[in-house]
Amino acid sequence: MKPSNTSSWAIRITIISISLFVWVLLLINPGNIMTIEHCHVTVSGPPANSLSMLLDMNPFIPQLFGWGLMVIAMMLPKLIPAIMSIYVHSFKRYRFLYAFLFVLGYLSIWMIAGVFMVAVILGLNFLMPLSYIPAIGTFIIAIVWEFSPIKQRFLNLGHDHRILPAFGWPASRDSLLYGFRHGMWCVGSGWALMLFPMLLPKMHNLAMIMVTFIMISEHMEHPRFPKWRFHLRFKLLRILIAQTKIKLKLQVN
Amino acid sequence: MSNYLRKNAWDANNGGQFTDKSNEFTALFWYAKAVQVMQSRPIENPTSWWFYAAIHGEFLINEIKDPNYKYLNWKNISYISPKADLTALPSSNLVDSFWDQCQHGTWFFPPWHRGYLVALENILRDIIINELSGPNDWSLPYWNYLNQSTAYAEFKIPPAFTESSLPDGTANPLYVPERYGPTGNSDIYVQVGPNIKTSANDECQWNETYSASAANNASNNSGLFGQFYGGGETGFSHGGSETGDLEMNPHNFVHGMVGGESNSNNQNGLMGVPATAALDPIFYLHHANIDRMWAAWNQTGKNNNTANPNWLHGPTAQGDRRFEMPIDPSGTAWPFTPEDVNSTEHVNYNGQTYTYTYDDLSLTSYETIPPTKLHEKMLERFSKLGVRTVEKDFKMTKKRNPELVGASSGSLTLNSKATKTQVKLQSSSWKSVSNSIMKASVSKIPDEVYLQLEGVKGGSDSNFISVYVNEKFVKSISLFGLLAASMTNAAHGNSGLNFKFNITEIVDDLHLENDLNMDSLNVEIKTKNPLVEGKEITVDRIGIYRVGQ
Repeated sequence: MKPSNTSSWAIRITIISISLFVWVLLLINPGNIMTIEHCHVTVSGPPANSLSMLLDMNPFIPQLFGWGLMVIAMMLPKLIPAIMSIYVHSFKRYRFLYAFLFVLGYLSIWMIAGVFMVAVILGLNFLMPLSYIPAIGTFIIAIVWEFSPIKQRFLNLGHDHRILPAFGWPASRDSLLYGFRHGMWCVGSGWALMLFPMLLPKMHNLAMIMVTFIMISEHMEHPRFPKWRFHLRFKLLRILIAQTKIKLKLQVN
Repeated sequence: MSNYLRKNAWDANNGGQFTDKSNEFTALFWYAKAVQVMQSRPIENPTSWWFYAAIHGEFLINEIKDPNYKYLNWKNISYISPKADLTALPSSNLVDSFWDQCQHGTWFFPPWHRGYLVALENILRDIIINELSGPNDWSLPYWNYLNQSTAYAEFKIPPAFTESSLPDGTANPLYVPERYGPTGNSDIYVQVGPNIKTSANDECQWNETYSASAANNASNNSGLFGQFYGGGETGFSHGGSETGDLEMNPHNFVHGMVGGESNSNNQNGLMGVPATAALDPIFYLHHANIDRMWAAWNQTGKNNNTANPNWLHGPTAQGDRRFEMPIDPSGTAWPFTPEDVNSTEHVNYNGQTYTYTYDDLSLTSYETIPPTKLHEKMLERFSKLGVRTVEKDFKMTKKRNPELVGASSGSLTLNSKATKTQVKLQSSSWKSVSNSIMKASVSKIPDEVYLQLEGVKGGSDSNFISVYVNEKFVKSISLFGLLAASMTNAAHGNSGLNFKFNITEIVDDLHLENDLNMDSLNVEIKTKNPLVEGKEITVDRIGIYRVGQ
């Protein structure tokens, strides 16, 4: 069963609207939650007083909050197929609840990962303030990870859309567990890509947009046998180009 | 412009033999000789038999780890000749471009297989003309197992496929030991008949709608049988659940019956599993018949394929890999789209127009009485439900909103032969169904009700299941493609398959029997072949849906 066209579009528009709203918040960057602030003391090097100043200027919890917003903005559109599946496979009155529990489970995993990620980001900023070296290092790791069989395994697991129980507590529990599980496969495949923009001293918004595009694209690809493979997973770009060509051809004819 | 005629493997080949009454070689003989040549080539050669079979699907790179099904790994298949040299695989570029392309559970099923057959037919013809000095108009024969011929029992596999040697004394490559038939005793035939629940038929030919987007008005929106002729709208689908009527029966049914499951070791035959099916030479005669039925559906039935650009342009329109076939040993590709193979009269084959047809384009071979058309069927339904109406009084819209109204609790493991379960109905949702039926009128079209087997997994690809609701038979389906859909690292990502059944008539009957105020439906699932331990079929959930207008 597939949701009707009207329902499909309603789900897409709602999710993309939430994502866009959070993107706007991120770009406004209230309270500098998306960037690491430095002063001349923290920039000068790693003594203990500069660490304490770095943490004073960039408290951990607001940084984690910023991380959460970033995950919502970047990852929510990726959940559209799973949410559509929950929508059509659930009783009408529970559709929102189960979809919400799924998203909650999914975001929880990214927030747990975020604790480590934000610690790494602050640590690297402390050791190498305003340096491109951590970002370049992470970029290289992300490239190696990108073409590895392990990443392909995680991407394949992301296509395991289980049918949930329909009734009672098992339905709520499994919606949450489905979110946890989907979140784990997503963190497993995308952790390095997510870390990269956060380590850039400049232009990390642009990098975030590009990473979002790549991550959505790679989750749209079909599962493949896991092996080392140089494969650019730009399915979203391919769709946009193909559909534009078709529209132009139809207009000409 | 080339023009070829594909002929019946029984009637035009002296009853499916290698020589005709004048002792001249038939098209089947030349097919066998050309298959021999292709089989003498190693798998790394894109024009080898083995490479072409892997284009459809393979268990070589996509190796099976499950010990119950390791016999299907190509390295364990005795039919594959040592000349294939499976130790030296083609380059990864060739593998990535060509292998594992077959389209199942999708609206691309008919056109992809047409392109596949045209490419193979050209390689075979080239061998027949240039290496074997055979007839230059050779074409692929077809096996019409539904033909009600009085001269031959055409539901049986043509004898040429069961002989151990050819007239020239060489081994017959058309004979495949791993072919077990519908009863598992290597008697190969297609079960046809009104008293068989899992009978093959050509009812699909009466369906008038290729796919949802081809429905030109609301009255043929859902197709005659709740599905569509060509399949559901998908991207590249190397195994899926949007199976069209033509694909399910006869296509999947014949795969399951010919492959079968051996009585001695419960193993699937090669034809029964998509990733081994194209190794068996009968595969191409079966698909020539399916292609013939599609051509007849267009030409004799005067039905149109969809004009949706996403179908015409193929899967690249949705960002997926293109359809392409190698046409020479260096791996030169013929990329094609469904638009290129939309008609047998104008196939755009590698830059040239290629035309072929069949010696029989009858719309059906087995079913003779067309079923009631959807509009009349709706009138019958109104009449049955006591709604006063006159023809053209009602209008159906294209809106179809599925809503879950009941589900089984927990997953289900199918027993050998029959499994009974209760599917609980959610009271408020089910009330909507009964209300829609009780208040049915020409302005309030009553709901349709569907049962869906969700997340079906296992490896019994050659098996069939029949579904009953409250003791009433609904429909039988083939499980062709189940194993690959249940593998984590294969194209379907371990989601299993879903099977949808229209149970509206049964629900209407329950209403008329004043039996609609129930809290559950009794569902029984029967398997055709017994299931052995370790090879069970599981169903994640049984869902009941209402589809309102």
